[in-house]
Amino acid sequence: MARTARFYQRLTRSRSGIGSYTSLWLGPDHLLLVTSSGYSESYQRFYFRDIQCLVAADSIRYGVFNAVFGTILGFCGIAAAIAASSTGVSPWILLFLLPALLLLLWNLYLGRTCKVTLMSGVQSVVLPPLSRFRRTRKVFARLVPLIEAAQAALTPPPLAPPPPPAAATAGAEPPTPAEDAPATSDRTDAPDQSDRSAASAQPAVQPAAQ
Amino acid sequence: MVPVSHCPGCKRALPPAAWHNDRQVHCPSCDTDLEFVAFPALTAARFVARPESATLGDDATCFFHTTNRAEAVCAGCGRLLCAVCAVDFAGKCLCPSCIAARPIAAQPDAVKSRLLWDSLALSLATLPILMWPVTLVTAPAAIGLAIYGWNKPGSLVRGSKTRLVVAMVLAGAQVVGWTVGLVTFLL
Repeated sequence: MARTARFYQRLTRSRSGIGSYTSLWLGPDHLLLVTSSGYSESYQRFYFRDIQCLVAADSIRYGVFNAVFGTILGFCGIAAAIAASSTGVSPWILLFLLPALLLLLWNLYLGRTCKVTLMSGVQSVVLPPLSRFRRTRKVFARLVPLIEAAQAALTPPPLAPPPPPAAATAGAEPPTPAEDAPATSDRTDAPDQSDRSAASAQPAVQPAAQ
Repeated sequence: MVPVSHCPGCKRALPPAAWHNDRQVHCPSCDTDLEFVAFPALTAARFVARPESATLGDDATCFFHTTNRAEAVCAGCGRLLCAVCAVDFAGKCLCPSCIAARPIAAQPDAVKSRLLWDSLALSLATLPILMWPVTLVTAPAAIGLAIYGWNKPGSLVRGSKTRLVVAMVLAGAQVVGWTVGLVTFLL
C-alpha cells in the first residue's frame, strides 16, 4: 500500500458532485481521474502519449454564484438597514448575511469557473476537478511539459533554416528559370541547397536540355 | 494550425474566423470562450500494428500467429511475438497471455476500481452511534471488517491505514462499553 501511495501525486483537491466526488492525480506516465462514492473508487487513466488536446471552456457558474450570493447579501443588507433604524439588527439577519458574504468573497477569491475537456483519439472526457481557471492553469503548467516530453517522438523535425538571400551575395541577380532547372533535371552534380548561394555567383549553368 | 474543428461544448463547427490565435477561440454557437492546448499527438499519424507475413521457411514466426513473422520477444514468457501480439504494457513488451496472467493488485496502473474497506469499517464504527442500541451488533462487525480488510488492497491514492485503526479503536471502545454495561447490569 505504501508503494501505491507514492505512485500518484495529488493535482487537485476532491470536488464533490451528486453522490460522488472526483479528484485528479499525477502518475509516472498518465493522469488519473478518481471518482469516489465514499466506499468505492473507480479510476480512469489518460496516458500522456495519447492526450491530443486540453480544452478549458468558460462556464457560467461563477456569474451564477455571484448573482445568488449577491442577491442574498443585498436582501439581508436592506433588511438589516431597516431593522437597524427601528429595532436593531436581528441575529436572524446576521445568520443569513454572514454566510452569504463569506461565500461571495470565497467565490470572488477562487476566480472564474471553467469546464476542462481532455480529448484523445477515441474519447473526450470532462475533468470535473478542474473547475477554476486559476487551478487549471497551475495544473496545465505542470502537465504540459510532461505530455510534450512523452510525445517528443511525435514532434515533427524543425524546418531547415532558409538559405541566405541571393541579394546578399555580390553581383547576384534573381534566379532565372534556367538556374532552377538543375533541381528538376537528371544532373547528379547539381549543387544542393547549401551551395545555392555560391552557384548563383557563378555564370548561369546551361540547362541539361540544351 | 487549428486544433479542433468543433466546439467540445455544443459540438458545432468552429468557423476559422472565431479563432483569436492558435490557442483561443470564441464559439459563436454557445457564446463561450475556449482555451486550447494542443499536443503533437493531435496531428501525428495514428500507429497501426501491421504484421509481416513469414515468407521464408526459416523465418521465426509468432507463437500465436504462425503465419506472421516474429518481431519481438515477450519480456514475461520469452515467446516470439508478431507486431499484433507485442503489447507495450507498463514499460515492457508483453504478450496478451502474460498481461492477463499478471495479478491486478500488483500493478497500480491497471486497477479499474477498488472497494474501500477502511471507509466501510469506519462508517460501521461511527454512524450507528446515532442509534446507539444497534452498536451491540455493528461494533463487532466493524472490528471484523477492519481485520478482514487489513490486508486487502486499499485506495490507489490514499496509502495509509489510519481509518482502519480508528475504526478498530472506536468499535473496540463500544465493545468494551457494552461488556462493562452488561456485566454491571447482571451483577
